[in-house]
Amino acid sequence: MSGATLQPPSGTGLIGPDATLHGIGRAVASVPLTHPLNRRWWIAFAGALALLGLFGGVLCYLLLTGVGIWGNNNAVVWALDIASYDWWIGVASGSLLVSAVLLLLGAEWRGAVNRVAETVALLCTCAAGLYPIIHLGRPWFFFWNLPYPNTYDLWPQFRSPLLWDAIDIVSYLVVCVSLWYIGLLPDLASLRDRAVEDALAQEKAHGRPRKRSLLKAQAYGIVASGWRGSAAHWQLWSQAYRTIALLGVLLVVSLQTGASVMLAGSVMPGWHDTILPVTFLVNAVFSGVGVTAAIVVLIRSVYRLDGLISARHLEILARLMLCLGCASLYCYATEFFSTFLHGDQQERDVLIRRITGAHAWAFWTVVACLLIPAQAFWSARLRRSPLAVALIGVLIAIGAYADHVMVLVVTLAQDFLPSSRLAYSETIWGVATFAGSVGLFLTLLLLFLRYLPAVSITESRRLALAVVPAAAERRAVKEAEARPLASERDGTEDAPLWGVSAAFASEGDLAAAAAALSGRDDAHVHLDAHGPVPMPRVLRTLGIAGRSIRAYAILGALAGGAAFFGMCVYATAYDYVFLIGGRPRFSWPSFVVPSLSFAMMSGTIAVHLALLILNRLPRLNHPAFNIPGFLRATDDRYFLSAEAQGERFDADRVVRKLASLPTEAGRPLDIRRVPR
Amino acid sequence: MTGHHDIGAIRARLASGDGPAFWRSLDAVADTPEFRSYLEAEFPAAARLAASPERRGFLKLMAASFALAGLSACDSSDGRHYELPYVNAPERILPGAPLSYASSALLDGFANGILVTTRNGRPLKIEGNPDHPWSLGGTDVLAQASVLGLYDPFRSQAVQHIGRPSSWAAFQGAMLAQMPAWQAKGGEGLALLTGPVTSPSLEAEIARMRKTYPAMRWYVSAGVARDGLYEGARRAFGRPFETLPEFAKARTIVSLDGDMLDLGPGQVGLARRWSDARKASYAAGNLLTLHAAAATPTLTSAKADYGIAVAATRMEALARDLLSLAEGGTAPSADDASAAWLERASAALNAARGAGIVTTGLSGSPALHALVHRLNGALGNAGTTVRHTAPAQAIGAGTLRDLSTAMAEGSVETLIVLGVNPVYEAPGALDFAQAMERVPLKIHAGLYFDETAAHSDWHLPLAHPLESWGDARSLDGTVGLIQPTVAPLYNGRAANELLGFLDRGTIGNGLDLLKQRMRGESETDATFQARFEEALRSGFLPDSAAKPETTVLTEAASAPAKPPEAPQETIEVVFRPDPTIWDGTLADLGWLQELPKPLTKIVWENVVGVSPKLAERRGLANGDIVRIAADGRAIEGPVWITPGQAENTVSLGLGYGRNVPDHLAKGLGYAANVLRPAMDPWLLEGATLAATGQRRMPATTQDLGTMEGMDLVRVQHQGAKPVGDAKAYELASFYPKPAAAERGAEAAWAMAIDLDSCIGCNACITACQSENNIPVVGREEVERGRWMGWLRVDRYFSGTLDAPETHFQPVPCMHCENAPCEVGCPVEATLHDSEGLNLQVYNRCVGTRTCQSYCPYKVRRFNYLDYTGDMPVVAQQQRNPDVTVRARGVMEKCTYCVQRIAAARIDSAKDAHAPIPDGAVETACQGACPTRAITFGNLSDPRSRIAAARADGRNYALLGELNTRPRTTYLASLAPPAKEG
Amino acid sequence: MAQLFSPGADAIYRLALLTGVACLAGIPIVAAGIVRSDYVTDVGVAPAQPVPFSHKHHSGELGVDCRYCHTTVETQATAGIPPTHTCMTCHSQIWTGSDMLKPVRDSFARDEPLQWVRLNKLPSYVYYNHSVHVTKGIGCSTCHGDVTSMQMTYRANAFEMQFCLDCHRDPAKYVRPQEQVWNMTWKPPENQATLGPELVAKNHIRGGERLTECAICHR
Repeated sequence: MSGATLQPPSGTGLIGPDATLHGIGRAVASVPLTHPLNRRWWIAFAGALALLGLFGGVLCYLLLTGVGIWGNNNAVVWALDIASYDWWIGVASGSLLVSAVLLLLGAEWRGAVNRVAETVALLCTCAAGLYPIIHLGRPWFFFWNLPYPNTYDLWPQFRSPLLWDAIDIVSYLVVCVSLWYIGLLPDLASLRDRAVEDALAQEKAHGRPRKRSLLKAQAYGIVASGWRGSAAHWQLWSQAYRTIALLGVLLVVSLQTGASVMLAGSVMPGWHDTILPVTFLVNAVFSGVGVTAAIVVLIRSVYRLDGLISARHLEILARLMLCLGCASLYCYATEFFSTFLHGDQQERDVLIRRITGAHAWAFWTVVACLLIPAQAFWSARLRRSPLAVALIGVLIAIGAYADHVMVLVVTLAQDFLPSSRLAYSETIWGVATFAGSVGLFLTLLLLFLRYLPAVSITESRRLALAVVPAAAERRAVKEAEARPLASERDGTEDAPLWGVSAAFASEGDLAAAAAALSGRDDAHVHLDAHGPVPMPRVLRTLGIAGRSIRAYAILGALAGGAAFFGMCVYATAYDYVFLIGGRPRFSWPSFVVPSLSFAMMSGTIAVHLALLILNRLPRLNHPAFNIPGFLRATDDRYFLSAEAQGERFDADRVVRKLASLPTEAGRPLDIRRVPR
Repeated sequence: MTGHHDIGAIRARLASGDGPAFWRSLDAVADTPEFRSYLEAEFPAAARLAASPERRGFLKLMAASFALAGLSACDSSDGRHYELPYVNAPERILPGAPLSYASSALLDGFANGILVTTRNGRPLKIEGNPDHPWSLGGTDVLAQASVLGLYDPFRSQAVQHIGRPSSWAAFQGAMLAQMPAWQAKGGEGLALLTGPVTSPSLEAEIARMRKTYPAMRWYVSAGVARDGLYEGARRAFGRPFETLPEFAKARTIVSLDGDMLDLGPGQVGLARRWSDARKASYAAGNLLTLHAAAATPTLTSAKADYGIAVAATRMEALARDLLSLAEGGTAPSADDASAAWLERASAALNAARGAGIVTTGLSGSPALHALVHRLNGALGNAGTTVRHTAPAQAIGAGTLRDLSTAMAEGSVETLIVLGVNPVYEAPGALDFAQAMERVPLKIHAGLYFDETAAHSDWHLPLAHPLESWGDARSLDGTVGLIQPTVAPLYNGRAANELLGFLDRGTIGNGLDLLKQRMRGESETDATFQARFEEALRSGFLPDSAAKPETTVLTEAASAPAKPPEAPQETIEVVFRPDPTIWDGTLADLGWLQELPKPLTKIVWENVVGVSPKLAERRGLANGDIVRIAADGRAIEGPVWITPGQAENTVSLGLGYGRNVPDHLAKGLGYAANVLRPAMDPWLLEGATLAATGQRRMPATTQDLGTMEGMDLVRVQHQGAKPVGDAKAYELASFYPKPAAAERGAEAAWAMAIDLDSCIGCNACITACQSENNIPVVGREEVERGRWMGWLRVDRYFSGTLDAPETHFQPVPCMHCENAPCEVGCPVEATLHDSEGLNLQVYNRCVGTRTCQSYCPYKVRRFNYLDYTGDMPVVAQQQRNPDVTVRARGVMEKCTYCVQRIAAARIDSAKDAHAPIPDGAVETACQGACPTRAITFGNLSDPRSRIAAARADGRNYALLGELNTRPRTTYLASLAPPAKEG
Repeated sequence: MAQLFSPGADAIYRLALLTGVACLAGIPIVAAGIVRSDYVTDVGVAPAQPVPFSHKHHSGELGVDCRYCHTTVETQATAGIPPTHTCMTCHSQIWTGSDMLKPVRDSFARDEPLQWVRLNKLPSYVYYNHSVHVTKGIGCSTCHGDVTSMQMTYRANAFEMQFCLDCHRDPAKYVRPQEQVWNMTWKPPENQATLGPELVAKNHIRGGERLTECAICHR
């Protein structure tokens, strides 16, 4: 265990100078593979499971008895149910946005954060996604919110922000899963190979591999879908990752617009405000960063990943929180300013009730938890204190929840008519429902921490290579000099040949070798490279530099969006025309938001499919896996494979060519003939 | 199951004898072999329980399972699995078609004309009888709720003897054995106790009975007795009179603790005449003003143009001052607080000599009534605007006090209690229950097995008025007929039938008794039959109203003029009937219990009303439990600070504190009767009030009483420029005008509510509840803010706490043309039709509640829990089959009674789409309103009444500035010219 | 070491993925089919009745008019189920000893209703009015099928919302001349396309958007 721990970088560094590709892989992979802290994890898991059990119990009671178990009433028809939904989806949006924006901006340090952020986004979406169903009076009819062919000849009502929400949340779940999975794919392959290595080590020690180790490897293998780290894989992977991140950003905006228009679309005082969508978005990102930061600090301290999640990372997160905190403060100030400057009496009354009314605690919680704490990060000392970052992250999350409660309850408890004012207090069941959903989140989070890499191995390796490229190259040369070429003859000459492979210690060597091999016998040799990180330098040599899947994304998104928009128009203006809210028959602006969400979802699906299909994945069994030592392709070795294409393939010539390369210009560490 | 025929037998037994679905009736069959064998086959473990001491609780449980399993097996899955046609189709009843019967609704024996709508032989809804000369088509809450009373599962369902189930035959046998003894003694020791009797046929039966038993004594008991009123007339004129105001001829009204607009026998007729006169006088440019002095606020004082809070003990002094001023003297006892009011009222009365009305109410003392008569006499109002007629109530019975004394003396051997509940109603000072212990034989007949039944030897179930033949007078003397609309559900007998039995030894037939009474001496069979049928059709005897009589004031005992008294610190306690459950007779009806009291908006209990000043002085807050004690008796109840209450007056509501095991009303509120003195039932002086230190907030449906500076209720001063607006329909919008009413629809439905005519009586709410199957949710749910009424009456106060102006504003769904609710619904469960209705499609609703969160009027109601599923099977019989019963998790709201619109539309469609005439569609609330405050109709018909109301200068839209374009609008309340006020 | 997965694993894995996708798409389709099938809707199923009453015999062969038994069809919401008395008007004269008719005689003698199994059910939130349909020229057979050919009566159509909407959207397709309303074998004539709109206009039938408003059927 201690061997897997990396030294934390000194000062403001993002990663330690000694972080090797192998070291990073081992440090991260050892957590899911060897389960350190077994007992502590089980205790935490038992706690989370208890909460999840509570959730199950509450849901059963809720289904049997009705939403009346909560404290909602005639006026406050939405309370903790919708507040919880908005909060979960806000945290999800924020986390996703952080991850996606960092990815798109190419922030090198993202590796320590984005896996956690994406996971938080996904798990929060799971928790959030339940609320729109369970908060219904008749949850068993939730699917009436979705368009499907039915015997009533009815469509859902596409002008409703709730319908937008239904489409948004489905789209969001798809995009989250896709983004998370794509990011995870190479790491899963890495885990698979580390698990196989463990099994082999056991075989060496005990004579045969333990079945459980192999099963574990196979399980990771199945979800890794046969990822080989081929240069072609990496190329599309990078594009897909970035494209889906971009779609995710657009979807977050669309989703938060939908969620805020769910309030702003009404005439209610305190909701009917142009700044509301912005406030929603800012607070969502804010809370997302807060939760992400808190969990990052937790993982860092529990799994001693200081080597990968450095103080510098925390400082950047703290700065982000400070920045968003100021934005949030601005939003609140604007709301007050504009309302008191030109708002009507009811708007002003609602603001005053927020500050002084029966639910003023919510407002003051917002002030105390959401607005003030982030300002502490003006202090550099606090920015670098893990405890402060975690604590303030949690406070921000609490503040964001209070904000949702405040916005909903204060307006609903009394809007226009004083006669309709109703006191509201939540029952134990409403709180239990939320606690239960937290249980769901924690359970899934703990499972994630136990079985999946908590920090992106790939991104950390890229960071390591980017920060200390010279060191890595030096190490590679040293290694190459230290070891002679392996024997060509290893008893497999008689088997039908798939091709020839060569192992390298760095991408540079591999690129040089590939360049040397290319240009001849193109028709008979199919060159490919395999390595633990994307290898942009060999793409031109391999002749696939221009490949792009952007077109799939654009076509998929356009087709999906147009189809959805067309469906809305057909359904509301032609197929079954209803008079809704005095709106004209063809009220197209209402259809833009759900169409946009649907477009993002269909674009994501198109990209995801393109990634898999163009890379011929999933493919669990592949001749490349026969390359001796290929397990290190997901660790710290680069492999060049020359695949035989037809009868005229001359393996000996390839071997000779490779073996004749000079040491500093692409000479392989070893060369192997690979049977089919 | 093995014993299928056993169930049939049990069912037959339950149905024939004592009725289904309630545990008390199960008691009757619990020991039969059929039941035993059924139990052993179906619930082996339960069979052992049945014999154990917890038998009653067990039976209660069994009642529920019976209702679910055995007894309702024939109509499994909402009765749609099988079709059971008649064997012989009855005449007149067409399946599903409504059929109306004219009848009378009774309130303390007094009648209002009603039409009972039946469907498939079941009475479902009460409407006013527009031809009835007294009630003119209006109804009150009690009449509207009476149909629920018919199906009330708490009703008495079996004859009981000393707490054990018995039968009519056993009772008849027992009585026949007694009768010779009674006859031998000429009825000596026989005491008959009834409620107030206005029924000519019942009166005749009593007279006949008194002939048979000359020494029998007859007493009358009523929680809200008219004794003071008759006694006051006797003091003024020498004999009792009914006093009726003629608002149409009046120019001003002065009410001294009057109750002309409050729930009671007079409400329906008087409120209608008052609002008509007020509208006419406003049109004539001279508004009929109302000056009201009240000890505790009432609907009458709430509608006053000039109100003042005056202690009940000061009311006589006030009357004396007015009398003195009317006679040109001064007002010697006027204090600073009342001088201005007194001056204005007196000036108005003097200016309108012969066209003014001074009135007081049931709770006025005889002396006050006498003073008011003298005042009207002095002002020349008697005979012009104040009419005196012979009392509608039969006079000549002894009081409860007399009976109590007689019983205590031991001179009563047999007590027959007919339809009243003296053990509960009697003032605590009488100690009635104890006195009753001395009576050897006590027979009680009633709708409920109540407190008196529990103290009686025999209890007999009375038939509900909707099940029996009879007649009764209205306040003006008009004789209304009562006809059965359904066969008695529980084999009950009507009161006059029972009296016939005690008289002749055979249980009479109500129809025959009625016919005997009605038949003139010289009538032939044919003419009588024709007259009788015509009376049944119209529901009353034509021209039977009492004729006005001229009255002569007796010599007045000279009243010493008193100087103003020094402010007192002692507490006076006034008792008032409850504005929803009256005197407690109907306390088991959930509709009434959950009806918000018009002024306090409290449900499910009574409170102790105290003035803001007293509360301030004693440090009391709403919900503080206080103990009010006098003469060694005390009650405890929660304080409710009541704006407009006289400073040292504490008001207690009647009708609560019932003590009947297992009944709905059990455990609700306190029993104010305990404190009532024997002499003056309305006023208790010298009581003490002390906080107990405990707190419990009563459940209310409205927290805030102020309009917070908004013009929610507008007031139109006479002569001022119109306060209405059409602006609400001309606001700028990006959207074109709503498409509603532009798709070739025949109608544009709209409603206008005249806030001046609305007296806050709540009849509309109960009518809506009975028409639209609105569930009762219970006190806890109301406390959580989940009251289900589709129509609420908002009450706002303005002005000062001590003398507030009170406004009532009924708020149904506004049916906005730009309905905010519709945009939010993701499944089209709420949307518009082209006639402008904001529809709610219950079966499509998934329960997102968005519509209600978007509704600026908050008129939608959500079924948070299953409010309808566990309703007793009997009570479900009342449901309107034309209205879907809403399931759990579904939003509901006012539909403008879309089922009635649909019925009219179908009729019109079958008639080549002949236009639906104005007034052909009446909403339930509109039909029930005693003052016709609600106008409903087709806006696109320029000659309709709704179009006229919309064009009125008083017409305005609530929150019209939101551009919701509501179809429901309001006509501003009226007020005298502003400078005067 | 051999590979972690055998060559066959690929095929199995891909097949599993495809099956999963197919299930996701297929289950709703299958469910939609089941919901519409006669198995669920009971269309065409003639349940056992207390008396094997034959519409074919009475109405088809003997020519008894619909309205002889279903008396309120022209005036009320419900068409009406005949009371036992109606059966006995004839069967007190003919087939008086038939075993088949014993339940009818028993019902009449004991004053206990016959318990027919209900065929045509609408949910409790749907309000259908027979009278307005027949007076506007919608015939019995449009909904109930050719009852005169049914030996034992069965449900001819599943009364799902789309069935009602089909006609409410375009009544011209189904409306017939008034004299054809009781004709159980009526088929739309060749010229229904021109005749229908004429009848719609003549009978003042509000079609299309007005008749598909929710409150027409739901209250």
